[in-house]
Amino acid sequence: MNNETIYRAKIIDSALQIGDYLIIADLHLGYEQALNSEGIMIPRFQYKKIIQRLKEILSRTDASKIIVNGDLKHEFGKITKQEWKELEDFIKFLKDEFEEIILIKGNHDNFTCFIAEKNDLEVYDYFSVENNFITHGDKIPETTIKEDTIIIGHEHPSLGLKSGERLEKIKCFLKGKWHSKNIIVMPSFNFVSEGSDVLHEKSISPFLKELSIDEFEVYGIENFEILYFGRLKDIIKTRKSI
Amino acid sequence: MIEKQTKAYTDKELYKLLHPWVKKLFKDKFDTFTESQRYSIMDIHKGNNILVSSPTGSGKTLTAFLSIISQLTMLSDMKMIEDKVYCIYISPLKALDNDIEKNLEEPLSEIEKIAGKKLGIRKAVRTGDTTQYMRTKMLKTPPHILITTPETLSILLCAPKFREKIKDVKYVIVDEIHSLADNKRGVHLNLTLERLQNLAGRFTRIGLSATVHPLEKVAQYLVGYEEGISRDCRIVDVNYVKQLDMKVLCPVDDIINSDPEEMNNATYDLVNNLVQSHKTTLIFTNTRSGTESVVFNLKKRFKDKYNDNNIMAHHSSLSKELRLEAEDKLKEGELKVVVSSTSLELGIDIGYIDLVILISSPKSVSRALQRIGRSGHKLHEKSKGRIIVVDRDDLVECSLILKNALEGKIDEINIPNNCLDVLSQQIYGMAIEGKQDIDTAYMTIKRSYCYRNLSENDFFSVLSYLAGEYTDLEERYVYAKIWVDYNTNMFGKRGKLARMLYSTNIGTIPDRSSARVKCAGQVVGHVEEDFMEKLQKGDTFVLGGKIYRFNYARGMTINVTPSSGPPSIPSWFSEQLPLSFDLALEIQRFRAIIEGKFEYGRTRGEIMEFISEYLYADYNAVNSIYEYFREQYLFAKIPSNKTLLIEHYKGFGDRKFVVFHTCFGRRVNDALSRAVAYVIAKKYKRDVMISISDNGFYLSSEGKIGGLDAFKELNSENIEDILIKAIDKTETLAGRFRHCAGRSLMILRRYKGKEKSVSRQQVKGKILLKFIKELDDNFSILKEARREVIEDFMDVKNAKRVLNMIESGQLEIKKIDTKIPSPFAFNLVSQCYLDVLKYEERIEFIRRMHQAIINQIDAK
Repeated sequence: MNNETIYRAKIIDSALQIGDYLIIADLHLGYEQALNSEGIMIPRFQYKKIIQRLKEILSRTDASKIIVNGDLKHEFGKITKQEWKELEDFIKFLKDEFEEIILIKGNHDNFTCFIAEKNDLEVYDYFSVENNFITHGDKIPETTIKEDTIIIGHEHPSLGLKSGERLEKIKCFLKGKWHSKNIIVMPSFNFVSEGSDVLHEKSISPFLKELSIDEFEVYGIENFEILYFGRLKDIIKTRKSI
Repeated sequence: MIEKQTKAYTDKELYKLLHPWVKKLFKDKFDTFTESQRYSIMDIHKGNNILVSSPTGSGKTLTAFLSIISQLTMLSDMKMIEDKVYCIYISPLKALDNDIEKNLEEPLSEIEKIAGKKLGIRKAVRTGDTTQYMRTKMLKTPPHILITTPETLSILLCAPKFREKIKDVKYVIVDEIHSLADNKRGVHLNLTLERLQNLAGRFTRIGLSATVHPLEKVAQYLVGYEEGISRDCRIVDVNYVKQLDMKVLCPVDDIINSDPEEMNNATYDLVNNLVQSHKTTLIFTNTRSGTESVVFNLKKRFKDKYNDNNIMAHHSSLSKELRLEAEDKLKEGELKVVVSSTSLELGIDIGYIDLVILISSPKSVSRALQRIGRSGHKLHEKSKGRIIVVDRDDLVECSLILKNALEGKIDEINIPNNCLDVLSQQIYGMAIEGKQDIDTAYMTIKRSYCYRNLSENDFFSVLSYLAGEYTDLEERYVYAKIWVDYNTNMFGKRGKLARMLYSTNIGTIPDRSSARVKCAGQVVGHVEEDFMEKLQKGDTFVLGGKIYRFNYARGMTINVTPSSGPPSIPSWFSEQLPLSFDLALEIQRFRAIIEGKFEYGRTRGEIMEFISEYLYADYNAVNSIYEYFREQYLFAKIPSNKTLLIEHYKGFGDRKFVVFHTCFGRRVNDALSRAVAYVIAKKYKRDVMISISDNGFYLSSEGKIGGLDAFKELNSENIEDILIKAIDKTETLAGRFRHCAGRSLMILRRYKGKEKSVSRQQVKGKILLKFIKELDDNFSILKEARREVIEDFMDVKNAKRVLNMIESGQLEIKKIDTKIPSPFAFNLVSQCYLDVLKYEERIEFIRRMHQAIINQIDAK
C-alpha cells in the first residue's frame, strides 16, 4: 500500500503537498522567548532548525506556493525586537522561496496580522485547494464546507513509543473521518517538542472532540522517514503484549 | 585537628564558668549535668568548635545553649549587650525552630526572675514564614539568638541591612546535622557557613547530631577546611547504645512455610498486642502506602480498639494541617497510635512515646537507631523498639541490624561532593553580596568541606554558565545572572531583580506534584507526576489496592476506569528505602560464617546456638534463619563476602535468567546491573530485562546473553564511563536534570511574580535537556545531573569497591545452573522486571518499535 499519501496529499516529512501547494502548520516561532518569560532560561535555537528543515523539504518538492496552517508565531502580548526580526526574516525567506504565501489564522496568531499587513499578505480563516478545506482547527469555521477533505493542525499530534523505561515520541499525521468527510491532522513544524502523545492526552480541536480518534490511522514521521502504524485502536491493543 | 573530647568536667568546674544567675537557674532545675553537658560545655565556653553526638532527650538544647546564655546574661548584666546577633541556631525544620524557641523561653524568663530585673535577651525565629512586619521589627531590634533554617540564612547573607546585624556572630549551632550532611541541603548549608565566615570572621561552630558514623567526617563537614587542612574540632560521643531496649520479632514460628494470609494475621495480632500493652506507640513503615495500609488494617481488624480519634497517619503526602493535628494530639496524649513513614524521624517534639514499632527492615542501623530513639524521651529512660519482620530476607536483615546496633556499628554516612548546581546558586548569592575577586571566591568555596576538592575547571564552567556564555552575545542579557570580567578577575551580579530572584528561588529540595486520578467523575487517589508522565492508553496500574486502566490525561488530572488482571506498570519500586552498603556487607559476613559451619559439618544444635548468640535472636528467628540457610546450602552454595554466586536459571518458556547474588544494597546493584546490561546490549543487540533488589539483581532474555562474560568485562576503572553511557536515555537522568536545572536557577520556580506549576516545569525540563545535550555534552548542569544519578541515587563508588574485591581475588565468582531458582534467588526472581534495557539510537528504537507494533497488529 502507498504510505506516502494521505487521501490526495503527499507527505514530505512534517509537511503536506497538494498540487502546487506545500502546507506546514504550527511553527510557534518565538516559543523560546515565551519559555524565558516563564523562567525557563532556554536560548533561541529553533529558528535555524525550521529554516534548515524547510530547505531540505524544498529540495524534495516542486511546490511553488506555501500555506502556513496557523500558529506561525507563538504567544501574544509583548514582543521583543529580536522576535520581530525573526518573524520578518522568516517572511522574507518565504517570499524568496515561494511565489505565493497563504497565512491561515491560528489561536496564537493575534500578532501575525500585523506582520501580514506590513508585507501585503492576507490572513485567512480557511483556504481551499483542490477539494481540500484547510483550516487551523482551533474552531470550526462558520461556513458550509463543500470540499471532501479537511486538513487541520492545532493538535501537535505525536505517538509515544514506550519500551520499559524508555519513551520516545515521534511526530505523526492522523487520518480519519469527520462526519462524511475525510480529515487529516498535521503534526507541528516546530522543534521545541515532538507534540502531545495521542496515547496520553485527549484531543483539543472541536473537530475531534465529539468523535473517537481511536479509529484514526497513524502515520509516524521521523526525519523524512514515514512509518505507517495503522489504526490507533489497534496500536492500543498491541501495547499489552509488547 | 579533629579529636575526641575525652575529659568529663565536674559540677564544680562547670558551675565556675556560669554566671551566678544561670548557675542558680540550673541548680534549681536539675540535680546535675548530663553526660553530654559534662563533655561539651567547657569547650563551647572556650570557643572551640565541637560536634556533639548524643541521644535525644539528653538535654541537647541546654548542652548547646547553656554557655551561650550565660555569656549573654553576663553581657546584659554589665549593660554591654548590643543590638546584634550573637548566636545563630540552624535546624532543618521550621517546626523544630519553633520548638527551640519555646524551649529557650522558659530559662530566659527564669533568669530574669532570679536576677529580679529585665535582661532583655532576645531570641526570634526567622524562616520563610516570617511576616514582613516581623522582619522589619527584627531589623530594628535584632534578636541576640537567631533561630533559622539553612535557606533563610543564605537569603539573610544577601540582605544588605540585616547582614550588618549578623556580621559579629560568635556562635553557630547546627542541629540534626546528620540529616543535612547526607544531601544537597547540607551541601548548600556548608557553603553558606563559609560565606558567613567571610562576613563575620571566625565563629564557634557547634554541631548536634544523632548517632552517625564516622563522626570525624561529620566534624570535618561542620568546620570546613583552611588552606587544604581541616579546621580544629572536638568530638563528643555519648554512647547511645546502652540505653536501648531493642528486639526483633518474628510473628510466626516458621516464616518459610507460612502463607501470606497467616503471616498477615499474625503480624497485626502482634502489633495490636504490643500497642495495647503500652501507653502511646509510634509505628514506622518504609513507605507512605504502607503507612496508610497499617492504619486501615488496624481499624478494620480491631474495630472496638482503633478509630479516627485514637489512631492517625503522619507522612509527607498528607496536608500540613493533618500532620499538625497528629503532632498536637500526640503532645496532648490523645493518640494511642501514630503511624509514620519517615516524617516523624526528626526531633520535633511529639510528647511521650513509650514504644516504637518498626514494620520491616529500616534498611540501615542509623535509621533504626534514629527511629527507636523517638521513644522514652526522658533522660535516663531506655528507648524501646521492636522490629517486626515480614519475610525471610527481612528476618536476616533485621537480625543483623539488631546485632550491629547493640554493638555500636553504624553505617557510614555519604556526604555529596562538588555539586555544581548548588555551587551555581551559591556563586550567584556571593555575586549579590557584592563584587567578588574570582580567585578569592574560589578560595572561599574550597574552604567548604563539600567543595574542598573542587577543580578549577568545574569552578570556571559554573562561572561561564552563570555569565550566560552558552548563548549568543547579543541575547546574553536575558540569560546572564552575573557578569565576569576575566581581565580584572572580577565577577558580580547582573540585573535589578537579582536579589528578588535569588530569595524566591533558592533551595535544594525539588518541587514535586501529584496528579489527581479520576474514575467515573470521582477522585480515587493521586499518583506522582513522574509516574503519570509515563502512562499511555491501555496501561493498567495499582492504586490503593485496586487496578485501573488509564484512558487519558488532561493537565494534572488523569481519567481511568476499573480494570482487572496483573498491572502492566509496576509501581512498587519508587519509594523503597535502599539497604545500606555497610549493613549489606555485615549480612555477607554472616553468610560466610554460616557457610563455614555447614562446610565443617557442625550440627544443627551447634549452628543454632551460634546464630542465637551472634544475632541476639529468639528461637523462632534462629530456627527460620537456620532452615533458610540450610536450604540454600544444600541446594547450591551460600553467596557471601567470599563468594559472588552467579546463578543461571531457566524459567518458563525457556526464558533465561542470570541471577547475580550481589548483596550490596540496591544502589550498588542498580549501578552494577545497568553497566552489565549496557555491555550486553552493545554486544548482542537484544532486549535485556532487568530487575534489582537489595540482595542482588537479575538479567533476563529470550536467548543467550552471556551475562557472566559481560560482567567480567566490567572493572573498577571502566564502570563509571560505562554507567554514564548506560543512564543517558533514562527517565531518571531526565528527572534529575530538571531538579539540577532548578537548583542552578536555569529553571526558575518563581519569576516576575508568578509561580510556575511543576508539571509545566517537568515538560520544559525535557526540552532544556534536549537542547543542552546538543549544545555541550559537558555543560555543568548536565554533568551534575549525571553525577547525582551515579553517585547519590546509585552508588558507583561502592560498586567500584565491589569490583576491586573481585580484582584482588578477595571475592571469587562461582557459577551454578538451576532449574528452579535457589532459595536465596526466589524473592528476586518472583518480582517482576523493572526495566527493559536496550541501548540503541533513537531512529533504531523507533524502527524497532514500529516493526513490533505492526507485527502484533498483523498477528491478530
